[in-house]
Amino acid sequence: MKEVILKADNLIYSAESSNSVEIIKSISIEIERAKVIGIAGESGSGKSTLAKLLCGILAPTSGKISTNFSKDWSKSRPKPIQILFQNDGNLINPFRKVCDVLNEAFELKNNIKNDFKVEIKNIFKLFDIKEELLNHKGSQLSGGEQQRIALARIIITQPEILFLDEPFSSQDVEAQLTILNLIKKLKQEFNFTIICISHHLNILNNFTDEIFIIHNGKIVESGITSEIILNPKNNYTKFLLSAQSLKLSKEEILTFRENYEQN
Amino acid sequence: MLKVDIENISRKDGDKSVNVLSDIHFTLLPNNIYTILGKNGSGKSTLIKSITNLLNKNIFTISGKVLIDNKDILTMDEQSLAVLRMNNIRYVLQDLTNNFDPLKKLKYYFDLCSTDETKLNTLLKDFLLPDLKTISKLYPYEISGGMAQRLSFLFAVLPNPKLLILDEPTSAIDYTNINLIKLKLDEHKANGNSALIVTQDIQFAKEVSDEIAFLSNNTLTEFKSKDIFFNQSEQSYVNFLKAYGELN
Repeated sequence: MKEVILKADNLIYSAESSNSVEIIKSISIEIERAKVIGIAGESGSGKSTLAKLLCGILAPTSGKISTNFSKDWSKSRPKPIQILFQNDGNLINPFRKVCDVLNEAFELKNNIKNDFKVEIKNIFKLFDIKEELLNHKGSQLSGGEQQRIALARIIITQPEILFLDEPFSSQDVEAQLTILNLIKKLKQEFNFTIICISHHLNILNNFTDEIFIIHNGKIVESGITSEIILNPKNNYTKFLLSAQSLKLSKEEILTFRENYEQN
Repeated sequence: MLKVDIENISRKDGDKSVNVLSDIHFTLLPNNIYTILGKNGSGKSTLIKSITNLLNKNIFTISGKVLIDNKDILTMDEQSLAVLRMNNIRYVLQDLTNNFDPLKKLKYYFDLCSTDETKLNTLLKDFLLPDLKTISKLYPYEISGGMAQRLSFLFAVLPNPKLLILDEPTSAIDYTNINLIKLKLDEHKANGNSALIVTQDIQFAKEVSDEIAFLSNNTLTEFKSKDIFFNQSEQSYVNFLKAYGELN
């Protein structure tokens, strides 16, 4: 039977300052446990806002979010939903050593100091991180290294839901591939529910089970990723997929946008 | 049009001098789009900044020549350099919102363009940006990274420079807007101009470039036509292309 871990009903969010312009316009979704979900859309579509609402960083203007976790998290410090933010080069405190950053995550999780050395070895092996990085400070890490350390820190806290906000942006292709393989590994080895925001539909097609396409604060299409990529029903999804080829003419883009915005 | 012969770029690190790039030799001709691909941290941005001597002279030392119309840019005085950067070689650098002065409304930048309002509005519309009246009132910190990137591009291409230099022009924008940038670059080329792009966006490079080179191990491969580049991949970038293949 389908076990829903996160459910949102009629979420609406409007930023207070901007004359109640709705950024999220009535979104309802159900996320099944242990599924890998993609959220795709253009810049400004509301992808990151939706993620922040679902994580509880922002409170919705109206609507309801309900969760169904496997245990009681109310007394626990690291929360059951964790988010890997967009990598802007500031994911890890530049002044702190990697070992301190990771040790803190272990301590938060267990409330006691476990055998750090053994556990850290497992984590480093899983994430393909070199051990000499342990003594590096945040400022000495490359963007890709920061991202892997930040993800390792999250995994140590063993959340039930993992959000990834544009994990492939500002990375070269080799670093992107490393992250992709890591997400696949996490999917196999742990029972995480993973929700990944990205505008790279091709990459999402590589590892997500289901996908939500967002436009203008609304979900315009959702379903099994491979089916949607192969056979999109919604005009906006079709447009997004064709834009990926980078072969659209100016007229095609402007005409589409004018017609679509009117409907 | 532009001939680059850089023997060496080195960077001061305490008392030591560290070699950043060596043996960079290429020539750019009109009517072409050139792309340099390379991994994070390979020195792409340093290379393009060296072309008009933008690197901090207290830290970087360049030995070599960059010739435009037979004049060496690296030995030019500041005033000639300013004129060159204003009219002939325009940049869009990576630090998006910081390309603009945060204390000046965007109106300031539009007023600097000697272009009439109708044309500016058409351009803004082409890049899916708000109209001139709306956007002029905003401060740079009120626009998103993607908007800043498109706007910087628009300002750079407007004076029709002979050479447009773009650092990761697609990093903050989605495919629709990448399409629009590509179309504008086609137009720029059709006007007899050229562009030099550094990026790690292989698909963009494939669609937009005439010639491509790869930067790794502190040096640059020869520029090759894009078909040759992608079909006879050399050892230095075979992994890079393979990773791309696995991702898509």
